[in-house]
Amino acid sequence: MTGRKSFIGRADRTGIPLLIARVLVGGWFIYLAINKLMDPIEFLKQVHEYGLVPDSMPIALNTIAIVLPFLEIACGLALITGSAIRGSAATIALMLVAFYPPLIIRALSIYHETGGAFCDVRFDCGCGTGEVFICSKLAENTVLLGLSVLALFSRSRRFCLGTSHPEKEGASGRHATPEPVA
Amino acid sequence: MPTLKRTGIEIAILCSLALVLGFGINAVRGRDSINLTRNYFPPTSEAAVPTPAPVVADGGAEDMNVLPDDVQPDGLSDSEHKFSHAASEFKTITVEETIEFFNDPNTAAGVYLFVDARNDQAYAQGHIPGAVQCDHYRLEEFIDSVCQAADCAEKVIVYCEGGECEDSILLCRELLMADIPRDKLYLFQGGCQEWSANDMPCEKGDSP
Repeated sequence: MTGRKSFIGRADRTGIPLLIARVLVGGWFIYLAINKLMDPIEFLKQVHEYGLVPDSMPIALNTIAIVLPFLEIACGLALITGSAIRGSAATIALMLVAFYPPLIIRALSIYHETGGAFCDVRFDCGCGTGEVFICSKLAENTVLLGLSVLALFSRSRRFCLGTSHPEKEGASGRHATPEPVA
Repeated sequence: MPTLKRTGIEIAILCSLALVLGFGINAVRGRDSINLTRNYFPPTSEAAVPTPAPVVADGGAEDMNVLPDDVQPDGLSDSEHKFSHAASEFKTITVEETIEFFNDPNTAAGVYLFVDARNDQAYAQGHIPGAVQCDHYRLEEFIDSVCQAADCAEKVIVYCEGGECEDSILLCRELLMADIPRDKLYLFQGGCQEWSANDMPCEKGDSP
């Protein structure tokens, strides 16, 4: 167990797993956000399709459609630059977790309408990628969630613009110099 | 604990940044922007829902009932509910009835008005010849001219893409709110999909 821990710790200290997670999650979220911003009305329709906001609260629905793509861009940029890794990773993880129930509910609703296999359910989830198969979307979200959690708990701050971690690691990734024992 | 606090501060900063950027850019986007206070999905006006009457196109040989016989109030899926509810809200017409209206000389005379509820791109790619565009999501650009034309018309036939598209239903509700009488409004739910499937002509080009 100690050996495994030290292996994970050593891999983490290289900063490579974190860098991969940051670039993949950050880049993907920026790409999705740009697609949403290309047609904001279409994104508004998709948000409405989930029925999360009552029709009697148009301001809430419109605010989500206006702000959400920019939150994704802000988190994506923060992740890629490494300027607020924990905050952006936590926000993305929260968005992904919050997206599971409405996604599954909508897929189940279509599944009951159309019949067939659950994984054959295909619809535009409003994610910015057009129509997708539900199982591939769930798998994609799970991978993204895993990478976000990795970024959230990683102790390395290599290849980052700033550090948001209390550990005093240098930008080069060297370990903090131990405090001299008095 | 300091890490948790710092993470919370970072989340707050990111959310604030997104709010500022979102509303700022939306304000300068022009015609593609979302109107924050507008209800793009007006709910059904339950109190004003009449019992739908059979629709007969002028000159039609036989009566055509607007509601399919197999429409049941219960046991329907969400989308079926959505559209069956629209059928009880407005007079719906089939593609055959729409074709009959289209071929009627009254259409050329402007007595029957076809209204396309889709966006610029879809309208330009092909619409029912003579149909005027009224994009439900950019209503302010079209509503005046459409209301003017609808005032002179006896029947206003509203359609969109068909299938899962609900833009025509939403536009009918908006036209109702703009004082177009309910008995003038006819909903062609099959939309462009059914129109094209019946080898009917489509006109290409932007809205004048």
